[in-house]
Amino acid sequence: MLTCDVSGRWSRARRPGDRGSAAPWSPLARRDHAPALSWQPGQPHERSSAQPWGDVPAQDAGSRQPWGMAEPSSSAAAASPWGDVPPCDIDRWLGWDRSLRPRDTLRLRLRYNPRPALKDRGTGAVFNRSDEIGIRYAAAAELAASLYVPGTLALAFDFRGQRYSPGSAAAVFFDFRHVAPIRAIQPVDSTTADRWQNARRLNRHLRLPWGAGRPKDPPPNWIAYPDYPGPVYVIEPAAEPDILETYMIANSVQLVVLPDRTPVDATAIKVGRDIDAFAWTLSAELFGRTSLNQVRPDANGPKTVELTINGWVWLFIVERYGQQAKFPAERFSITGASRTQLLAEPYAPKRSAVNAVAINAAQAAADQLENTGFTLSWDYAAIGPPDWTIPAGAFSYQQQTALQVIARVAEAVGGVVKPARDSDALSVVPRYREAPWNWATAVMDRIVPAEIVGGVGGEWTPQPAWNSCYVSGTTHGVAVDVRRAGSMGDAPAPDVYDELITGTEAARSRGIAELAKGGNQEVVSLTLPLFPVGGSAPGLVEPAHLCEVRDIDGTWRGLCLSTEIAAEGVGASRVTQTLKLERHH
Amino acid sequence: MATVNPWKRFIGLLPGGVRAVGTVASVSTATGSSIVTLRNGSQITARGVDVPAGSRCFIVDGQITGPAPELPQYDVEV
Repeated sequence: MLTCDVSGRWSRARRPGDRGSAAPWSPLARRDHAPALSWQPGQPHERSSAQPWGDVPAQDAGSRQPWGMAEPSSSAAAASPWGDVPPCDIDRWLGWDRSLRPRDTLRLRLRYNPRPALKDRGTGAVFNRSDEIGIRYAAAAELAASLYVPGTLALAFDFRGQRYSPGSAAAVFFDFRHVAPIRAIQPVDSTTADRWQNARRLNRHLRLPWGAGRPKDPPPNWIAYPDYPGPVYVIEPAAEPDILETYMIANSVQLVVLPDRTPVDATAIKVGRDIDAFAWTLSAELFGRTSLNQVRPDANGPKTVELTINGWVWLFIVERYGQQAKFPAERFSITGASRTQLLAEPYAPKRSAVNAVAINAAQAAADQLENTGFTLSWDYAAIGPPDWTIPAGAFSYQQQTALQVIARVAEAVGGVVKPARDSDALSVVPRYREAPWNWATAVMDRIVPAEIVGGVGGEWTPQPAWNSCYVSGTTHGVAVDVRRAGSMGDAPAPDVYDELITGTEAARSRGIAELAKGGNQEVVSLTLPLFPVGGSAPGLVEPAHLCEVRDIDGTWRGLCLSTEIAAEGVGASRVTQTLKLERHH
Repeated sequence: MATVNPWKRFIGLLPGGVRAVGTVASVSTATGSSIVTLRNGSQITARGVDVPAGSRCFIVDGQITGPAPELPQYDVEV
């Protein structure tokens, strides 16, 4: 607080013009009678203001410093043509001084001194920490504990260790005031005095060495892609195989006739399927006519047999049988196919239809299985192939079985029909779940180490390396030019005209499948054991699985084109699994 | 296409089945054929005079089978 003490006096007002009310300043006196400037127009001392230096002579061309100190050719004329201007009034001072003084200065004095005197410094209350970790006393609780509550316990007084018994006649006086004991000060919340304040700013002017991130992944076009906002589907990665010194497999092969599970004595069992087939095939040899009679078709149609090899289960219908009656090597052979054969010729009826309204492809395929007992799974969201809309009138077929229609729908988007091994189900899966040019970063389905490969063969099946494909519908739909990213599209694959290409996503998927057919490739056949279910990886490799082969010379990846499982011998069969992998170079 | 399916391999060996869509450049009723410009600019002679010049047509194995619609064109990079 500032205190301003102003004192003033009231005096008698004076009339104007008198001497006392005149201004306290006297008239200004002129003290410099010669205000003229003391400079005159400058006169050049030398008219010739040419460059006073001539050419600098090179002292020595070969020396390290070719120029020496330049010297003026005429040192007398090198001075500035104008000399210093002599000040004429160097002794002259300002005409005003401090002779004028105010006469009525207000007296101003600060009354408030924000800095206390030294004598008051030690008078502040000083608290020291004491009894920080001792037992906490509560004054109210101590007072409550000292009180006697009538009725809770017998009233008894102890004075100096002796029980007090009231006298009979003496008058007594008790003082029951509670005197709180004096205890050391205990801190209550001194340890919780946290303070927040703005964080100190260190290295304000230090710049981060990182700039904006740029993708460095395969598409090398340096386009900053926005974050992918859609759903993320996790594909289960392949199980790592166990690398052992010795693999011991107790093969178990069982062939039973359903539904009463009568075992059939069989040998030389072969089970196989390739990626373009919609059914597994079975061929086996039976011992004895009794076994043949179990599986021979009768009035109820073909028999269904269940084959279990090392825990992998297949269901087959036995379609053909034969007999080789040569003593003593009498053999009965049977041939079967998966139950998905029931959806094709000659079991299934042929139908003709056209869609009257727009329909989804997956729905159109599922409609074919109505009232057949089979179920169709089409994972169009996660692993593909994509689903698309077929407009009214575009989906038409004539005299085709259910499986033919499904296969045609699947082929339109580059998919294949994959039958379930042990149930009445089939699924539509993409032939190339990942395009071959993306196999290096794709998630694999199976891993085949070289330690379990017993035989390798190869067949070179090259195709031109296409980089674009024209996929078009015919009467409906769209025409899409599918082009490999980063290429000119100057090597087109044969045009694809399919009636079911009615959506760009379908055309894109088909185009990928068509482009994947090109390039240098080979079909590599590998022979490996069939590990039991739950055993070491890779187990059963099915067609359309992406496989990583950890060969001795290097790891490569391929698409499983066919799987053939052979169980030979009687009793402890020798089970081998032969894969054919499509490898792109 | 690398395949091990015998039926697919056999189908691949068979001739025919070449389908294309082109634009009829000129129609010659005297010879019963039309000159069709294919999508890549090359021209072929196809049998059939049913589609007028300037219209798109389906061609199956060198024979014009009928008019073709104009479909929306897209470009897709994969």
